[in-house]
Amino acid sequence: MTSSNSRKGAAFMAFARQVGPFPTSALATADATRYLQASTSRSAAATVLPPTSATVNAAARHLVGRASAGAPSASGDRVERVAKRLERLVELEREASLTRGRVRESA
Amino acid sequence: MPPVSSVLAREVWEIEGVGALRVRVATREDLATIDGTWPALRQPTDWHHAWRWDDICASKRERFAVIANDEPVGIWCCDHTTPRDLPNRIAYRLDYLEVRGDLRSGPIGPFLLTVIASRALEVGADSVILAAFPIPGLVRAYVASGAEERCAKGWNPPPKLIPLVYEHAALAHLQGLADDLVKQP
Repeated sequence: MTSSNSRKGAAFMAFARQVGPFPTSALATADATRYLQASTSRSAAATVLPPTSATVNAAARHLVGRASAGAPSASGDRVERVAKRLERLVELEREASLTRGRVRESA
Repeated sequence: MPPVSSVLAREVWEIEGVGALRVRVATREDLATIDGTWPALRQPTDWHHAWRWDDICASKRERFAVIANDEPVGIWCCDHTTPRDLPNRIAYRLDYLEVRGDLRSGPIGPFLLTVIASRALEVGADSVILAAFPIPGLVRAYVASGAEERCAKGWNPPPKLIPLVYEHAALAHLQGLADDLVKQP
């Protein structure tokens, strides 16, 4: 560096000190959530067990409770929707049970 | 897609203790180097372990690498090739940037900001907008470099990230700092 540039470089170094160390090497992003979500999904698939029966049962109880609470005015459509979701929950529970078995076997 | 061009590619900067720095459109080789070596240099607390720059840059023409000793030490890219026309401003939206993990505490990060400001002004923007991870200290670092913590009118930043704006005066200041580092022939 020439002495003139060195003086000018001092202004930059003062600026760099003022900014200080960055707490992460990825300084910013406007759209990173896409990649963060992809990452989370991948790691979740590898490490998180499927929902337990207790989770499914709790969800079913919640749905039944909501349907019961609205029973006097519940329309046929609403009851049908709840019934379908309960069916889906039972199906999920069955799949979850099978998957848990496979995970235990492979562990 | 034809590559973008920039006057930045003609310059050489020099930082004491670091040496000569160049900026070029990130090549496939640069991206391969980054994806091959940078992930191991990220900290356990970092949020961006899934980032692969080859994927991120796949459809982006506006992508530049900061080069030292012919190796990338910093990179940024934008989804948009031209600045965005927002109410009361023409904004260069910075979408991704990263500094090589082992250099995060040195001058490369601040230098990256100065050349990004120069690039934004080169393409006719009067401001830079970005959204930062809500990591303690990160927003403070941006603010210390001249950014303002607020959302530019007309921009919908991604949820859970913190919007920031560099106004024209801040960009001019950053560009001046970069210009001062240009190596004399």
